[in-house]
Amino acid sequence: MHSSRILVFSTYPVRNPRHGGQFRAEALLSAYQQFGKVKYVAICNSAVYSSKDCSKWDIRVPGNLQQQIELSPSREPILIGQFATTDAELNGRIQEIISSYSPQIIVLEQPYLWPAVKLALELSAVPFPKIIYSSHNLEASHFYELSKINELSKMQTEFSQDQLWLEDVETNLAFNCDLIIATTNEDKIHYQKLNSSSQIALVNNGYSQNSSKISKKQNNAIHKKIKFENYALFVASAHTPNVQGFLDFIGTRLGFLPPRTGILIAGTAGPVIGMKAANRESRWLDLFWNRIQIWGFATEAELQIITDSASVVILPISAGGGSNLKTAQALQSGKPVIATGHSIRGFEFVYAKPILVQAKTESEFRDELTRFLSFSPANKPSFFDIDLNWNFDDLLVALKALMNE
Amino acid sequence: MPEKTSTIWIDVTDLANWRGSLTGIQRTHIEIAKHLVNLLPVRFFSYVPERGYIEVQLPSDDQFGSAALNTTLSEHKMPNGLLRVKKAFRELLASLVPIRAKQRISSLRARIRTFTMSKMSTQKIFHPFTENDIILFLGVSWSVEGHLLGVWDIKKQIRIKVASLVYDLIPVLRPHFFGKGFPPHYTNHLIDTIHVSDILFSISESTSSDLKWLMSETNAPVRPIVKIRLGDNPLLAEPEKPSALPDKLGKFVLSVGTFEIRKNHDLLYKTWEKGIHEQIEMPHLVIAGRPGWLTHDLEYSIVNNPRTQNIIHILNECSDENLKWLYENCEYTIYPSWYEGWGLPIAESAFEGKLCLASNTSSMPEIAGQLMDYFDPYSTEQLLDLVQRYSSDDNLLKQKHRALSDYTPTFWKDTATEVGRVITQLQNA
Repeated sequence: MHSSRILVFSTYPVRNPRHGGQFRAEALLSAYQQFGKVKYVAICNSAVYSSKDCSKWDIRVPGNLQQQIELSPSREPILIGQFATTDAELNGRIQEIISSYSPQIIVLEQPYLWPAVKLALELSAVPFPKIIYSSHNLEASHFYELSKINELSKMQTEFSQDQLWLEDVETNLAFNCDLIIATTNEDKIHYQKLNSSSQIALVNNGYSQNSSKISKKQNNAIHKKIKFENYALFVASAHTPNVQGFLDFIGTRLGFLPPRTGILIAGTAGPVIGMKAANRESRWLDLFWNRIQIWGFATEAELQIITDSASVVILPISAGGGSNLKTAQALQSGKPVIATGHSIRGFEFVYAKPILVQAKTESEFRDELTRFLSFSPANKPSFFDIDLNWNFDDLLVALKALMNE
Repeated sequence: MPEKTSTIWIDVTDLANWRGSLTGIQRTHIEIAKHLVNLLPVRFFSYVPERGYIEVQLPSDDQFGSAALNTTLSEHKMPNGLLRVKKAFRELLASLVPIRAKQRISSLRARIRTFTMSKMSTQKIFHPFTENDIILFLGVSWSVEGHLLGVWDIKKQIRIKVASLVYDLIPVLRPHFFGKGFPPHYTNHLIDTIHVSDILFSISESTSSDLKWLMSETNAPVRPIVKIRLGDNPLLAEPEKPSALPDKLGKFVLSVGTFEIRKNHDLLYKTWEKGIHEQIEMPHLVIAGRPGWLTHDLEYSIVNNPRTQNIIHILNECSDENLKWLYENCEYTIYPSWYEGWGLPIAESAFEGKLCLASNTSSMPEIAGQLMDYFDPYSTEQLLDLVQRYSSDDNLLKQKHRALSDYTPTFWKDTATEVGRVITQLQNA
């Protein structure tokens, strides 16, 4: 079976991965590659992913679509999925890719491109391949939650049309695919209920830590940049649940954080949280900035050092499904982690470990954060060693069975 | 089992670094410290940036006779040998007793001659504190970086308790009355103070209420707050008419307070101008206060407006003797401040037996209650109405002044006793 041709479609590239979805898709590639040649095609937003982020197979969507995406960013994958179906030129390119590659397996990373791929398959002369639905989340319900947070429901017509479209696409794919890859046990149960005859493999999110070599000079420079003696680390993209979670569980009035401590935010969530704080507060904005450091994008080396120096890692995620790759990353760091129920979904096996503190309410979260930040640097809690590497055992068995059918 | 011993340490960093006339905060600081010496075994310390906290040692021939002050402490050197100061802090306190008579202090630092150093902390913070000690912050702790937070660092290493006196939250509540950088600095400092302190003292119900609001608004930890009443400061000087006043000054009213925007002198100016415009016979107005900030345009208007230049007199330099004369000879006083932590001129006025027409906001009505009259600091109409009433009806004014004999002054000893009671409770908690 090692000669199988596997074609993966996604709405983001995997070169220079930055967010959880990219890391997961990249990790899964290594599992697919054990069964043959894999081609990865991203149909993605050119405003977000530059040509350097894309391979020669990736397709960056044109400007007129970008305008629509800019108006409602949370609709991005839906708009890309619809455009890839309705735009004859783009769908023609998908047909060409399918025809020229003639895959035995097509993997859909998330459901958005399924209508476009299905149409392209119907219009191509190639034999219908096996379909794998690589689910990252229960997208329709996740979209509903995001819409509530973003008050998208105010744009009633678009909102309900998107909601219906996504539910239809997700269900159709789950029914018509040959294998579903679920991210959490909860998701797996959902798909089993939806399509009891489908094969389902569980791949929890994992994290492969790359210890990069850091020179002394680089190390000193990074340490110098860290503002606080004791800090909590929040690594997050500007994805709505990350920002909203921070605002819900921590807020922008940070008087509860002890002196000389603060929160370091790495990733694109930082500027958005800063902007939200500026919009919300005027009187307490200086207090906010006194206790916050916006790091911005962190390189591997920076991430390693800011994680090693943190007193605690926080995951104040209040919405969203699936499981968070940043949770794996946080737990893998060996630092104590303060998490919400949402953020530890898929990592239930860590519950009993003292590394993980689950906070149910805003005040519990703040109390725990204060407790961890109140330790003097010399008395910081010890490290914990948890193996959270990617585990593809379940998937590999399922893929083998699929190949042998 | 040996009895637990603990020391009460009073911070005097602000006094040690101050050069110039004493502020109200510093006078309060000195008065409470001076009386606490006689009530409890207290010791003093000062913060030296980048070095640590050093004990300020008092001489054995101290005039206040406190046993604590008579203890002979060996003189220590800072480990780097740079600091070796030999004189007493008590001398400084003694020199400040005639409060307004000798306000000028060329260098308080030079007067502190004996410093001792106890030990070096693991965080390289030198300090003399030991387990169960109590640190008392009575003065300004926001002007020297690291001053307050060094204690926070020590508190994480050894079990000490901290009590801090909060005067007001005005830079937080009314930031526009201050230079741009100060309010955020002060806000952050207050939040840190709340974290560092086990208990907070406030100088009025209004400040207590503002502190509670701050804790709630910023999600800061909730700390117990104890209100103390500040002592009254009698003017002991011999009265002397200020030379800048015209020889034939008729009936006049007095307004005492730094000439700064928060004191709302603008209301006085507008009220007087309105009165003159409406052909009301306005009394002379004497504004006594050192120059402040954000009032240059107002001063220009008052001095150059032909209607007001001969009836409103601004005295930027005013000695205790001058002030005594002004209180004795004025008809009544006016205090139109927008916001206060306490309102010292109202208390002074009450102590001198003179009616004060004061703003009805913040702490001001707490000082003398119904003995004084109040107005909305936005309202020229209300103030003009009161000025007219008291300027035209001598009997009404006399009646008010007679009632002021009911005013019960607070002595600094009582203030210090209340602080001492709370500190003792904290010590035993």
